[in-house]
Amino acid sequence: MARTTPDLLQSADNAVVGEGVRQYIAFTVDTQEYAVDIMSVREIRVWSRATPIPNSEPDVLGVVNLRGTIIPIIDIRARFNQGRTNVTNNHVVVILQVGEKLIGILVDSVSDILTAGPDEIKPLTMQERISGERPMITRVISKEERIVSLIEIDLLTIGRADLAAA
Amino acid sequence: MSGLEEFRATYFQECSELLEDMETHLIDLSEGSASSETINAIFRAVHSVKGGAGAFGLNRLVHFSHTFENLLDMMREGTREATPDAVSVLLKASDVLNDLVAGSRDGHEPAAGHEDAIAKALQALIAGEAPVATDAAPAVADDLGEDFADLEFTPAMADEDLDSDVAAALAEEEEFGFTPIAMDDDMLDDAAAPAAPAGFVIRFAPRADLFRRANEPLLLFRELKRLGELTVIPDVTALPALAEIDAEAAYIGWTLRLVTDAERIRIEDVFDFVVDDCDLSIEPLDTAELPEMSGNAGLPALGEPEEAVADVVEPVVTEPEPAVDCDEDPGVLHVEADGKVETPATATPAAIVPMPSAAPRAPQHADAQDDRNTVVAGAAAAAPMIRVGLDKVDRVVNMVGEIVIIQAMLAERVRELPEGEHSGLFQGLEELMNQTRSLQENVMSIRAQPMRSIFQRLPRQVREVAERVEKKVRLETVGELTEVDKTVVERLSDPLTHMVRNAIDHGLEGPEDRRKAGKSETGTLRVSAEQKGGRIVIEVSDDGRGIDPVKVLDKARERGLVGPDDHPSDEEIMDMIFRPGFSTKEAVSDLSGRGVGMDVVRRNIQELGGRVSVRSTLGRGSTFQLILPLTLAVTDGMLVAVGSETYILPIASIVECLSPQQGDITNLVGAGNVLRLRGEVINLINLGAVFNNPVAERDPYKAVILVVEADDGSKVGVVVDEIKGEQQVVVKSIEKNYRAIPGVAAATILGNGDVALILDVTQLVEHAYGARLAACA
Repeated sequence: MARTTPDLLQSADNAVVGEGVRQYIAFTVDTQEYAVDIMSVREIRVWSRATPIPNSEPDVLGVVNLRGTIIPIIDIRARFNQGRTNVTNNHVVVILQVGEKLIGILVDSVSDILTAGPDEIKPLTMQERISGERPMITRVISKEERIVSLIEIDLLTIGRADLAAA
Repeated sequence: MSGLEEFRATYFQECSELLEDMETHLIDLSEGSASSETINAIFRAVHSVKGGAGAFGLNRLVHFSHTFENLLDMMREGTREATPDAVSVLLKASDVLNDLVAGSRDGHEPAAGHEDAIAKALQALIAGEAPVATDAAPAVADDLGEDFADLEFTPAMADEDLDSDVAAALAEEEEFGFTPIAMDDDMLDDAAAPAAPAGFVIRFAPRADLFRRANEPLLLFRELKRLGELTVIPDVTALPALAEIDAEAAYIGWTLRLVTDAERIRIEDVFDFVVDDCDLSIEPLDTAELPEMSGNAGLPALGEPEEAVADVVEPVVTEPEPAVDCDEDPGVLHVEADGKVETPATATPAAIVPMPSAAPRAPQHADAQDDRNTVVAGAAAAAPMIRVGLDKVDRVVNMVGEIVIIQAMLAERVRELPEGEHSGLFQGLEELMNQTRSLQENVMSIRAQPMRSIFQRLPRQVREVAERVEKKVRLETVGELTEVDKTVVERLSDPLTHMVRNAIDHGLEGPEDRRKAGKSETGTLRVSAEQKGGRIVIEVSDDGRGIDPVKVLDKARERGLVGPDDHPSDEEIMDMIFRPGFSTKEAVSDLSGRGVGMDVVRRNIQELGGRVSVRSTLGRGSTFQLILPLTLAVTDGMLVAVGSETYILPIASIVECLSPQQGDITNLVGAGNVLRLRGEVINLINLGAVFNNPVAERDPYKAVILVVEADDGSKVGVVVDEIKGEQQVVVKSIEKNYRAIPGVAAATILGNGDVALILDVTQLVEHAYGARLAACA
């Protein structure tokens, strides 16, 4: 269980943070790059087997034991309708604090720590809504040559069926 | 938190405990089951609240509690009686006190004048006025207030020491920043006593004839006490050894010190009827000499024998009676660390208690104290306690949980060792497991609370509701000492209140209807709690009209809950009252039946991992049953394998395990597989099928069947691949970070660190049938 978070956070500390400038952890799923606010990231760990939840939605891989707490793991690939991830030991789980809840998201790899100011965050005018859901991506970080999708993590705690109903 | 804030927080915490205690005693009082200690306890509670309020400068609270306390003081001295009407006022006053405390704590003071009406009612009682009419408790406090509005009566004494009290408290606050909350009961009295008191010293020694003429010294003393402040010092020097005591003789005399402005003639009047049967001398106070007394201002008020016993014995009984066959000093009560007061069994009654009239009572008091040793709030009688934050206890609970998990892991590793090498290890491990189990049980018992804290609120609620709907209700509570986890107790309060209201409002009929139905006018509401297996069962039953399934079904059809062609079973119909928006009561009353009813109750109970059900006989009454887990932390589970997954079934729900023999199982169209077992037919649920596990065994003859009992008593056979063993599991919430999963109660962590799901048998059955998956079994 390699925990790389401290190293990442170390480098984050060294970064210059100005007015309204925030830091984001970027990760990849296939060729896509996503990011979440670094303040919501609790830790990053390698994949360990999750206990499947019977009759759950396809993006819920199951639950794991994080030092005595049971947390669900959500497959980001499945969440974005790209099919279920064929999980290997090289996959990474990012543990996020979303409100009161802790959840894990399964990604291919963690790629970077980004520092972005308000002017580098662009709203999307067209948002993909899957079967009437609230969109998971409404903003991107546009920096130099890269475009990184910002995930609305509060939606991760809501099941897709419930999201569609809401 | 700054020092003062911390003290403040402690004060309010103590206040809520005191007020809760007070409530219990007030209820006792209103039910007539009060002992002489009851008023004292109420007095002490109010007094302590006042003391602290003074220290924190909460003047409004001080003023109100002072008036309250004055009345209680008079009651405990016997100058005012605790009539039912007066008790009603006391109850209301305790409500107001609650409001004021809550207001001060939260910084939202109740509106000015909130307490005025009740304060006036209290003052009226202090003034000796009967409270207005007997109008079912002064629910209408305002009216009461108006009636007394022009009385303007405040006893002079009350004002005096109120001011000096507040001043003293404030002065102390300035000096030290804090005053201990518990003030000595005697402080007030001492302060009130003038420096050179007027009064008399009375020496009184009855002769045997006095008792033969059916006179009672206690009554005389009470009479004297009405005249002023009375101190009673018994003289037992004439008392012979136990063996020589003549039951009909008189041995004891008293010296009475009476501080009073009354004239001598008044005192002589008191002794008028006995003067020929006793030796009596009455001298003015300043000339008389008093027997030496130790520190204490002498005997406390007559109305408090317990205290009298504890305080008096030592100074009076100077030598053990020679004839008493006892190693220990016979006169001394043994106050143990746990607060129980015990009388040595061999001690002579006469030696223990100075007054003959009180003598036989002393041992009883000791008993009474034994019985309710947890209730007594008295300074001397309280068991030593420490106040610990709940988070600290919970941390320990969690750590014990971790130990259980590590233990399971160790056990797994040990089993992997070659045979013969692990026997010693295993023995040690087993001992460790036993220890861990009792450690865990003890830790959980710290969190456990008796149901009493909920039950004690019921009598009042019942009375209030019954008054409002004009019904006569007798409340029976059973099992108030049943202990349940704190969280369960706390979250049980609302649903239980709701159910009790429902039962009175909907369940029980009015007196008229009851008479017509040939029942007694007073309906009976029974609330019980008991521990059954690993669960707690709470029942609320009434002997009212019962639930009419026909009406329920009509209503359900009307609300569209049931299709016109559906014909649900009676059981299913009963279950409909737990549906959202369901109420059979035609007219919605202001108490219950607002449509947010039993569905909320059911949800609350389900959140606790429990279940509600109802059974009812038309015309005979209904019983609502709540089944709740005893603790939320650890349970005994059976580990079963389904495909590659491990699930846990709570041992408490398992009836038996079996491997089916050829011919035991029949497939019924529409019902799936059923098992014939000793004449019973049991539905089967194949877990692999229900959970869509592709690798699980589907052939029930190759599988293992666990017969489990759902909470409604129905049996179901759960088909699994194999049984992996039995172990204690730590219950971990899934909902905390995820959401509820149908059929799954919680999760746990196995020895290898994996998560396993703990199944909820009843839900599983519902889920399986609801999803029409049973056919796959």
